This record gives sequence, structure tokens and C-alpha cells, in this order.
Amino acid sequence: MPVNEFLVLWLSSWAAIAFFRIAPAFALRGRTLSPRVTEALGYIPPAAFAALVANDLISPGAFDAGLWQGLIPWIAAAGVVAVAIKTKSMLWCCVSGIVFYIVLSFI
Amino acid sequence: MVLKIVKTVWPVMLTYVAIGAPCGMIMAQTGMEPWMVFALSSTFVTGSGQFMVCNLWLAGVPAASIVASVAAISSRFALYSASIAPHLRGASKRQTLAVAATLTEEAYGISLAKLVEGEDWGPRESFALNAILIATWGVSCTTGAIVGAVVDVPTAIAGFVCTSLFICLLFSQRLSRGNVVAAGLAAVSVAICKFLGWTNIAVPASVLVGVVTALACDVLAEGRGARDAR
Repeated sequence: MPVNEFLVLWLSSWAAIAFFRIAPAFALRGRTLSPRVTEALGYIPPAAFAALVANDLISPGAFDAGLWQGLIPWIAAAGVVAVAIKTKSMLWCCVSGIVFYIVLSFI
Repeated sequence: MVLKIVKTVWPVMLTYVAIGAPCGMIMAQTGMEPWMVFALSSTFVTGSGQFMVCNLWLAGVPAASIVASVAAISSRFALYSASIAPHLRGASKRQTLAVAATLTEEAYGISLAKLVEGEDWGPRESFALNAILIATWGVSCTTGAIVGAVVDVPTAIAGFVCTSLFICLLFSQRLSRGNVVAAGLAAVSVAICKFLGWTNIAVPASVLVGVVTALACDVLAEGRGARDAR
């Protein structure tokens, strides 16, 4: 990749990413927010984490390689949900996720 | 302080190594030199954005379209930044800038949980956590670019560690009607977006759908409560 093209691509994209990261924090910093806005901000974490989980699990071509291959992440995720409810531990969730995924891959 | 944070986030650091190395290998395939991989990785700190740059570049997509796609997929950071802002009330401008500019998904989840719990955690700890994760990600991607095809990392398994982390963070949320509606609708919306081929905007658009629907449900419930009271 030529250096000039890389610099244009990198700096332009970074500017956009930095704007999204910084602007809201400064716009809302130190302000007394209305109850409705506070409520809306409180809904962002569950919506964001659910969207990220769904984004990882759902793929239109997931079952192209076979039913079982497509089901592996879903079954492993169900196992991690049980561990998450039981332990609330990030470590145990990550470890159990890897173990479930590897074990299911061998079946 | 650094040791305390490392003890908290070492599973995430391992995940970053496992995903960052193959990400760096793919970046090297586009012809990026190791310094380019390090510069881009340690500023983007978004696997999805970096994979997208590589895929689109290799497909011959113009730079302007690549930048627009990366901006679209990174718009979710605006929601995380807005969400964490009220918890940075006591932070200085410099601290707010440092925390916001280095925000990553995993760091956001961990920092938010710590700030809400009111543990011995403030902007300094949040920034240190971000910096540790960024350094891990940048070094992992660069190492992957240098080592190349010598190491074979199963990306599906490495990627599932992040999924497991997000599941844990999701199920750590308070179980309320609004949260369930926000999470459920966001997940359904992601499915619809992906089947429509709107992969780039699936996450940020779905977060908005979830939040707006949950707020609408609250307004409806309040209206019904007021009618019942009359």
C-alpha cells in the first residue's frame, strides 16, 4: 500500500472515529441531564451488548457449511449465558466460551 | 494501579492477542508495513473497522468509500461515549478527552461497570485500562503482521471469546422491563439489518432502535398509568 494512500485512508478514518468517541463525552460532560435523557442513556448498555452479541452470532451464511456448524456458536453462547447468570464473572464466561466452542467443534 | 487493572483485564488482553495477531496478518496482506499496522491499530482499536479496511482495500473500493464505511461502523462509539459521559462528572477536560479518545468496546463495558458500582475507580483508572488494552492490541496486530503465516490462530474461537465477554456484560445488566425491551429489539434489529445486507450499520442502528423502543414503551406505560389513576 503506497504511503500517501495509507496516510489519507488512516487519517480520514481516524478523524471520523475520534469524532464519534470524543464529541458526545464533551457535549454531555458536567451537564444536568433531564430524567428522559438519563433514562435513554441507561438503555444504551443493554441495547449495545445485545446488538454486539447478535452481530457475532447472526450471519446469513452461517448454515452454509452445515446445520451443526451453524448451531455451534448458538449452543456455546447458551452455555455462556448459563455461566454468566450463575457467576457474573468475565473470566469464567471467557474460559467457558472457549471450552464450549472447542468441545462442540470436536463433536 | 496498573497491576490492579491488569489483574482485572488479563482475559481481555489474551483475547486481544488472539484476535489482534490474525488481524495484523490480514493487514499485512494489503501491503501495509509493520509501522502502518501499528499506527492504524493503535488509533482505530476496532477489529471490525480494521478488517473492513483490509477487505474493501483488497476489493479495490475507493478510499472515500472505505472511510465512509469505517465511519458508519464506528458511529456506535458515539453511543458508548454518550453513555459514559455522566459518570465522568468529576473529571477534568484533559481526563475526559483521554478517556473518551481511547474508548474501546471492552474497556467501555468494564469501566462502566466499575464506575456504576462505585468501586475505587475513576477517570485515571479508566484511561489506564484503555491504554493497556490499546497497547496490547497495537503490539498484537503488529506482531501478527511481522510473524505472518508462521502462526496459525483459529480466528473463530478467538472471536468467540469477545462474544462470551459481551454475553457476560449483557447479563450483568439490571433485569427491568425497559432493559429487556432495549436488548431484545436491538438483537432483532441486528438480525433484520444483516439479512437486508446492511452489515455496516447493523450495530449502531440497532442500538438506536432498542433505546427508542424502550423509551416508547415507558411513555406508553406512563400514559396507561395516568389513565388508570384518573
